Amino acid sequence: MREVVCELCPRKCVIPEGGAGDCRVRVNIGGKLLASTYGRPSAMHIDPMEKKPLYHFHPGSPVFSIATAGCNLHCLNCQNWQLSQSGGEEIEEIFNADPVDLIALARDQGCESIAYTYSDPVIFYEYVYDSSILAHEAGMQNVFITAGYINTEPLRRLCKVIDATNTDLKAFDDGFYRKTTGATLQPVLDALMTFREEGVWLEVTNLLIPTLNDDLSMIRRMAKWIRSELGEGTPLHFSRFHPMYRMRNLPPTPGETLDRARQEAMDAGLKYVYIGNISGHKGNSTYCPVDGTLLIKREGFMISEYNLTSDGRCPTCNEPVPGVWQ
Amino acid sequence: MISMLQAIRHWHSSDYRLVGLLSLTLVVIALFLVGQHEAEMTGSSWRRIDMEIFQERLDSGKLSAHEAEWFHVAKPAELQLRKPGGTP
Repeated sequence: MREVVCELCPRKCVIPEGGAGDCRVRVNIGGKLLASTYGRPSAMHIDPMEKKPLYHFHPGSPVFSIATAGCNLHCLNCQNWQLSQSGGEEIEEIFNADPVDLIALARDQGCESIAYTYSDPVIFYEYVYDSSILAHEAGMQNVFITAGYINTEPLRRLCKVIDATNTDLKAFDDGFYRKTTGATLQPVLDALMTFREEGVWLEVTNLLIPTLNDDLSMIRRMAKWIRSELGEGTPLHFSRFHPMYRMRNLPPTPGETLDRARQEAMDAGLKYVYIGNISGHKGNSTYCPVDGTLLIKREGFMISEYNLTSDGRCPTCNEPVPGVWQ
Repeated sequence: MISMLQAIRHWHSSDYRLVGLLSLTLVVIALFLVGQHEAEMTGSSWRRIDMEIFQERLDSGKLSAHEAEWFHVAKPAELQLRKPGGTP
């Protein structure tokens, strides 16, 4: 038996011949590890950038979004579980789109960027990396929507070809990570810092689940950590939970919980704190942190008002707003 | 409640054996389910997959034989880290 050790994520799976990693898609055949979903996405959609969510990165632009089967997390509340908790040999729909085809397809659809998203793109790393190089050569952007459960060395290499990320920080509590996702907290914090150090545009999402991770003192600690380690200008998205997959026993997050979390994070010093999954909420829009001017008004995933200057400043007080606006 | 107590008072030794067997079965099922859940949640190091279907899909091009990066052949010390069995 020629076992191999996968070095991609913190699990470091030791995989015997004929077995797969915990992610289900990295398979040991004859002592060689295969990235079995390379060029074989199972989901392809055109989404608005706001759906990722990325609010400070090319707002309002369409992004060609792909995912393959598999995931290295096993969240009880996964919203894409049919995709993420299946292996390549289990899933019905598989498209054939090698990196060259993918770039051409995205271009044909009028997209200037590609999102690696839905499941966790960490597990189709090689496909992301090769596609991202070609996308850059074609003048396109790459966005990486992830839970950040990846080892530092492969992540640093990937950062060279990634332009933006929205990374889930699912809770500021290792116990929550272990019980609800099957992962651990510290590697995610390391990944967030690596993105920041490598200059990738970074936004953070925290899905608030009633009773599990909505404690205000934990939210305060998380916001303070983001401010001190990632910067006060890092956009933070509090997202509303909906009962899903193996977590149907809890109700959707009340609006007041999201409001309180947003206020707590802003009190901790974060300048751009958003509320997601509630259409029409005022916390879905961008305001100048200095004078409160409405800068970008969003309704759902659509932008209904855009008042930033062309170089990304408040039109009233000239305060620069961090982001990639051009 | 009273009729239940009366029934227990009239149990024969074979009834005790049956109840014991049933209890043991329930304990075994509970241990299996807890073990499976824990393996799934903490990462079991590797998973069994249906190799026949996997190979079919590789041969038909539905899946890719692209070699992954970021792996190495396991050293003897690392083999001890592998949890036995694997999760389906």
